[in-house]
Amino acid sequence: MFKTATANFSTISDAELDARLQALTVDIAIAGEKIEPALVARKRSRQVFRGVVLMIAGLLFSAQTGGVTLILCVAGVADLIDVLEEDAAALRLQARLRDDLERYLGIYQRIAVEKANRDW
Amino acid sequence: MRERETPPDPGEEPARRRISIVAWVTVVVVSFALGALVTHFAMLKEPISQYSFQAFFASPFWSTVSIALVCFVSGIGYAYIPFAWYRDDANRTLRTEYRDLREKAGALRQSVDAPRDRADALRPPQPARPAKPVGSSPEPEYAEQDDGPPDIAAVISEMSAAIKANLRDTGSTGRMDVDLKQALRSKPSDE
Repeated sequence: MFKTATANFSTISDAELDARLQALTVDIAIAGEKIEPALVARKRSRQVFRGVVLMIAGLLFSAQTGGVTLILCVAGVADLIDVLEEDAAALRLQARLRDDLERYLGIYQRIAVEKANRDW
Repeated sequence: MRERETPPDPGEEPARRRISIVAWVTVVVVSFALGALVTHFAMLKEPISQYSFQAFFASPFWSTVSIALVCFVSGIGYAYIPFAWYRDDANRTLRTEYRDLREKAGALRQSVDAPRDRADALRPPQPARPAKPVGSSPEPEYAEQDDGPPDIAAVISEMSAAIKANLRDTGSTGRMDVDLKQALRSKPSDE
């Protein structure tokens, strides 16, 4: 892909330009499939809700149980940390896909301009 | 001698993350308990043997701290809601933009392929081969004419006839005929 991003399209043949357009389409399709589905994000939201509920319950019932329910707090904190780490990874992936999209868009525009110049 | 750095095993990452979570929670709990213990003894000046968790969790100090922690955790939960909305919106926008770009690239490809399809359509069609009847046995790729073993006597007689015809022209037919017959008779006995 880096080869395509830095290539000079005016010096390549029609067949190669067509092949690069096809490769670009495939790359876009592959990158589009990497976007996190809404189901996974909803699952993380549920996990955050569970962690918050566990922590609040552990704190509120700790006075009656002599601190035993603080174990629930530990589970809730583990849930929250897990979710925050996954969210950070998802945001990194999102930023990377955003960069890729801009690069693909630039390549597509260059191919389209070259195609218009050759008057296919 | 410096050792080569090996890439991290992908299977190790979840285990390392679990360990880091457990370590983080342990440090938080221990530091909080230590702070509570020090505060308790500094405020009440009691001997450590009389320390009671029941009394600590029933104290007004823990009531205040627990309410503060509940508010803090609730704040985390409330703050996560707009973050989740933002994340979903960003993912939805990204997906839409990828789909649009993919459709544009597909349209560009189709505009490339369309003249070729038209050229293929204008090309005269190839004459069709007659279809073979269904159920006919396929022909072998290298078929041999199997007429059985060649008749050697017939071949030799044809050869002798041709030789005789040739020699008849030269005038030495009788002698050559005798020699050839002798050769034909003597050959099986030799074999």
